[in-house]
Amino acid sequence: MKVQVLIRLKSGVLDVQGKAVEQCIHELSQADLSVPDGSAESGGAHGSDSKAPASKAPASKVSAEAKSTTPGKLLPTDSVSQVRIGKLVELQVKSSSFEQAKVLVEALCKKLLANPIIENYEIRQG
Amino acid sequence: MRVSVIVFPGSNCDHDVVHAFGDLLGHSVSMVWHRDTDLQNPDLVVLPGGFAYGDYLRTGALAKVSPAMAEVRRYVAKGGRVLGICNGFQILCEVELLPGVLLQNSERRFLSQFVSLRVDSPKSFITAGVKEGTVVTCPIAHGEGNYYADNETLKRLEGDGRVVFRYCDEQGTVDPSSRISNPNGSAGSIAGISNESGTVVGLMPHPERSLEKLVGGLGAGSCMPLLEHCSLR
Repeated sequence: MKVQVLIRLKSGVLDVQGKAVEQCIHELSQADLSVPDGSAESGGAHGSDSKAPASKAPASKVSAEAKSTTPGKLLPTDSVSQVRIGKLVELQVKSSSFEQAKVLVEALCKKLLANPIIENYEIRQG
Repeated sequence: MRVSVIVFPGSNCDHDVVHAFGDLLGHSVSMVWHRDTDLQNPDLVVLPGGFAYGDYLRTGALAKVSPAMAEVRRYVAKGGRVLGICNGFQILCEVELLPGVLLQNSERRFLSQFVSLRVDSPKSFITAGVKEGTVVTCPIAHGEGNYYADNETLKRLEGDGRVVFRYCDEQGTVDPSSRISNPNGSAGSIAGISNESGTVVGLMPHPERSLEKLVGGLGAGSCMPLLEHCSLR
């Protein structure tokens, strides 16, 4: 039986990772999508010993495509806040019912998977 | 004194601890692999710094299943002394030999720097006989050193004199809200705590890294007296 455990930080506990991601979301939301990200140029760098600069042709092709999509920002400013990052643990549990599996997984949560000082857990059927 | 250093997969400060207690302080030191159940009859067990089990799941979390840790618990129950340094402190909290937890540094940066520590309690084996208010200089190197416990636990620690070390400025002033004197944002600027009997001590800084003239570890503010005190009865 597949069981999923969602582990979340309790509210009020500092989530440094969440804050860092939120910061990046804000910066990403300000990104101008009409600027090509140069992915076509970087293709030449993978595993290649050549020091020759990437050709100009692919880059202009990318920017032409980008310009044809809606230019502007990925998200409206300040549309995302309170980012919190948790964990998903998936397990296969030998049991005849979900209720039985839940008892076993609950014990695992208390003993190992979650730290009750700072984390809550939610068990559900996978 | 017989010192046993528990080595987990991912521990990387074990050799510094062996050097400190063995070469510099002249004690008999054994390294105990985490799967061993023979602690080698120690007077002191040290849980060293590093990244035991890769910090997987949570830092220090998986160390609780190591056979050596079951023996350490038995050893503590009989009055044995344990010093947990950095990752060792994190492990002691996860196995509940000490209360609370170490969160990620509040400023989101791995901190590798010197800090000043104030000795706030003479009740632990490492500070017995050290004057309260003594300031020592010590390096820290951690990404998760932000000590956290609920208010009830913090009150108990403070009231029982179990806060052994606090981060402070060079004059010994403690200010939990200051990024300078409390760089990782620990509650109450707590850098190290003990259990009720003072036989188990955990601290985030690394006294074992700053005991020699070459690294400026001697002279005023040296950590040497603290480790020397470990062998006092």
